[in-house]
Amino acid sequence: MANLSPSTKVSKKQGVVDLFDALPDDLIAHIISFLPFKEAVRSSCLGRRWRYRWLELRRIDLDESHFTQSEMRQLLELDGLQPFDYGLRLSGRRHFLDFVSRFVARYAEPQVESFRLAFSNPKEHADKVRAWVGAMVALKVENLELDLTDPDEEEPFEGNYGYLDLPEEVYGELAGRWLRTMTLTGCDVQPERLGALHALRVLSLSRIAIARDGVEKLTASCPLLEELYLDHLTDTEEITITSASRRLRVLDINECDPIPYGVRLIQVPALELFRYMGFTGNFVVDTVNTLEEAELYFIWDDSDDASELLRDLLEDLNMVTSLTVCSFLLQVVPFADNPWQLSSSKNKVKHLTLDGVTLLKDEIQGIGLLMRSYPQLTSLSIILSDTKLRPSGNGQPSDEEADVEGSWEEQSGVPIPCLVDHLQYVTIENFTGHQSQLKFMKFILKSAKALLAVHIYVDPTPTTGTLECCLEEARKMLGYEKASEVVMITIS
Amino acid sequence: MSSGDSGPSSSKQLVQQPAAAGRSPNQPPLLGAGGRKVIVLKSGDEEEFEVDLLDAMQSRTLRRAIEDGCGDGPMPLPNLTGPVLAKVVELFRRHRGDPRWADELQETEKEGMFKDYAPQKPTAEVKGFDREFVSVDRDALFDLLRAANFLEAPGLLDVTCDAAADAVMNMTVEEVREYFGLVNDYTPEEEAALRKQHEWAFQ
Repeated sequence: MANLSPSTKVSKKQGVVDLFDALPDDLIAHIISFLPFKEAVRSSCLGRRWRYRWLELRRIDLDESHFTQSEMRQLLELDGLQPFDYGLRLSGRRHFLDFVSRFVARYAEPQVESFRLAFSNPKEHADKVRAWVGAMVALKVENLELDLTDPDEEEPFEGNYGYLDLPEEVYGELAGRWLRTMTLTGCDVQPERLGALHALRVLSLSRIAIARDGVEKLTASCPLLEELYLDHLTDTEEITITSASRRLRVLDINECDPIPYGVRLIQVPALELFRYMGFTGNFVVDTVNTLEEAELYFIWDDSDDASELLRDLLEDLNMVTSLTVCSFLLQVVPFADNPWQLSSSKNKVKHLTLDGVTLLKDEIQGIGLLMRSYPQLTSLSIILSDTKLRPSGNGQPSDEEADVEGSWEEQSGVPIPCLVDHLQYVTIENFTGHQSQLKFMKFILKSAKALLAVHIYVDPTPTTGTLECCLEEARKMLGYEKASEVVMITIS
Repeated sequence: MSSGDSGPSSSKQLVQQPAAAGRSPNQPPLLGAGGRKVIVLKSGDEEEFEVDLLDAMQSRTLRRAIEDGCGDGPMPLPNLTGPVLAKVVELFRRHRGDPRWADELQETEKEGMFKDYAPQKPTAEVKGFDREFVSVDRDALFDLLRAANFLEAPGLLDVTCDAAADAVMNMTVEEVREYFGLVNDYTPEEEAALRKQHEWAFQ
């Protein structure tokens, strides 16, 4: 114990040992860099040595809402327990402007790791905001996040509001060389002005108008892009990803509706995960052989061609091994072509997740169809939704019980290959013990010969009865006839 | 953190391969298992630890010493105790090839020395090790922080600084002062002014 402990001195005043006596200021800066920005700023009050350490942070998070409302106040306002205070917003906003202006003027680190700015209604201070962002981009920022929407707006995006042109620097050479991730929300992006973003790996765009084929232009500017997240884009006519995105692994499209010309994935050489949420539309999936996982969530619509479009999509996605689908897809897919099976015989799906489903009558044909089409299916996960989320779920589920039984029996009539030798694991989340759930399990246990394990996670809600009721219902399946001698059933 | 009667012989329990004692300072670095170069580090309380040369290079302090030719005999590190050094050596071994800190090594590549130091993504196992590594009391954590600071090892610094930040997360200013043993050297007026200036950060 030679040199270290003796060097920490005992303060005469209070008899405490200052643990930082033998440690340099750099280390203090390093420690506070792991705190949220707000807490790091607060640490300046600890003592003189700590006063300016936060100005050495390389991860900067400037958020107007930290100034305009305390978290507690925000919660109370959301719950309607405290009135919305406009005066507080205004004075907080003034403090924020003042704080950021000073911060940007004093900040002197040679390189910024990440810079996040969240500032609502930026138009009235557009020059300042552009200057801040420009100054940070000039400091070779690697991760840039701008959120210019108003968190107090219930629907923060109403067409063409509050837009702010990005500063020149974002389109410039330094950005091209240093930006690794960029997250933009509620800004005005001009894809044709973007230079080559040579280092960009992750691009996330939310609540932005990207006209016509802008997405294709954007991706063409980012040769190394690996992950692309598109959320609530407007004015988009098509989303086309081609072989130009040669490193793209993840594509996530969330409610960019409408997309009149659809989503086209054409010869994207490295795509692994495709996630889509939105209305049914045209999908083209052409030579995307690396795709492993697809997650498909559709918003209910009454269009006549939904079943055909979704069926074509499923046929095209025959290379994925992991597939997640929603209730809507299960309900409409049987209505086109063969109601029992997809036509492609090369489907590779091993893991199927049915998310937000009910297992009621109108899904049974779709579930049977998918199980029958995926002969290599080894695990089936079911995440049950609240039935009232279903567009057609106005009637009491119990009205349909008799038919439910009939339907599963009908399914048993047409062979389901995966039940003979592949399906090993079945998981149900949010189990409430409803008849439809028990009947599904009765069918599975009776027909799945290779089944090893069933996991049931019970989640009672006020309308479904107590935990004890649900558990009791779930335990009934222990007595069901089982095709597999080794199956283990766990209920928790 | 006392290591009691530990001497050179007790290091066998702490390292994978027992260190060879009594080597001449002129000998080239030892060859460890698999023919890799190893060096010997000696703690302030005379414990010796054999470390893969490439692992030791994670420390800028050790790298400088090795490059200056000090890696031939046991390298004395008087301000590190045996138990602390044992933990550090293990962390270096676990962080081998970790891309979070391997870039720097790649830059110092000489004569293909790091050719098999291919960066690998940190596994869940490494992350679990890191968590376990800092699951210690405050004083032990600061022993590790001082070691990280002395050794200038980025991985060790990140893991320990992250843990120190975690320890004071969500604490009030007063609680942090107490935890770190800080004496408030602001005048009451100064502190009040500072709190007023950063009022938003206290909400």
